[in-house]
Amino acid sequence: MPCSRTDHLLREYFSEDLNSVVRAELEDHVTACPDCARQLRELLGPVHELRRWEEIPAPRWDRHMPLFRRERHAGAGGWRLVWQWLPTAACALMLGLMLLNTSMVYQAGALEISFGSPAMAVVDDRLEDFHRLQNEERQQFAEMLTRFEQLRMQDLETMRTGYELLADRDYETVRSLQQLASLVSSTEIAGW
Amino acid sequence: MRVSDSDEKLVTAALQGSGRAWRRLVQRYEGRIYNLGYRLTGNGEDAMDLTQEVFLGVFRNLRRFRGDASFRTWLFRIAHNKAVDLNRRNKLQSLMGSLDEAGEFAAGELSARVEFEPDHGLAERECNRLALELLRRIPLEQRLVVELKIYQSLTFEEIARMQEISVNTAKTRFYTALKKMRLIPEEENALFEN
Repeated sequence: MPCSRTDHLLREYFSEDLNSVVRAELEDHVTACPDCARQLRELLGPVHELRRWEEIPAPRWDRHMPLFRRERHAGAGGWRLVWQWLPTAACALMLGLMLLNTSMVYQAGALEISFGSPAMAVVDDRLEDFHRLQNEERQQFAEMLTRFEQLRMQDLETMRTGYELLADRDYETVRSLQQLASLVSSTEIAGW
Repeated sequence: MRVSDSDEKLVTAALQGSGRAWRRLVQRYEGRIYNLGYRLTGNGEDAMDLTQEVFLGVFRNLRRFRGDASFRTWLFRIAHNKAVDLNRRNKLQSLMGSLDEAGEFAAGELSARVEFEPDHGLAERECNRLALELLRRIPLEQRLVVELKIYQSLTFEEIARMQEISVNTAKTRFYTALKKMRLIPEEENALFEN
């Protein structure tokens, strides 16, 4: 093996890709070539020194146990979360049941759930009756108003006729008076 | 919940609210993530921040874990992303700090923050000191490849998928990193003398 190849092979010396045959060739060459042996020693020296590292025990610490316990309570168990949300969920459920007029009746060993309670149906019926009565009353009132209006018009007509009659009579009276006056004046002239 | 239960079993149990399963899962990997963080950031405080962020990310995304890849690969993907985020944040903080102090930019990166903490006993071991010193020489993107390859024993293909780069790029980053971390005898001696 020529020395020119060792530079490349020394670069690969620590690689797991270097196959055993080439590694053996390189090692053979290194034993025979002092220069290449020195180069390999220079590479192996620091590796050897670094591998002499003596483990330092880690100082005592909490190992994030408080964090673990806190997050586990919030995440994995989740019971605390359930208890926190339970009253809210119950309120929401009650509101929903109320809005849907849900009624639950336990009869003859069976639970009956119905939406829209009978009481509300009664109220609805009564409201309908009330509306019907209201409409009838409104109609009656309108008819009464029409009748009053007709009566008023009749009265006005009667009044107008009476007035005209009265005016005619007054006119007759005035005429009679005028005739009387002219009679009186003609009599005076005649020498009565 | 048995100690030998598979990751997937523990994930399922944790999702169902088992605190014990979650604790086991964290216990199983917290050391590896903490050490990964230590190697990437160079200090215990940032390593712990990273560990907490990684497991917070795991916790938040546990429901999304579908089991397509192994839990371990998924975990290290999260760790990788968080490390990149942390680096970005630290870069920004370093930048803001340097702007406040001197009114000029400073090249901030995790490597700049890697400092030995002499009082932290276990991290003080010579082998760890040397490893941190070596890792300090390389940028984060290479450090991540080294971390995943050497410490997490991932293949280049897995690393490439995780980092959304090509396999060749992953190999090149690793090779370049090793070259940069080449041991210089004087430096090595000096480190061991200290």
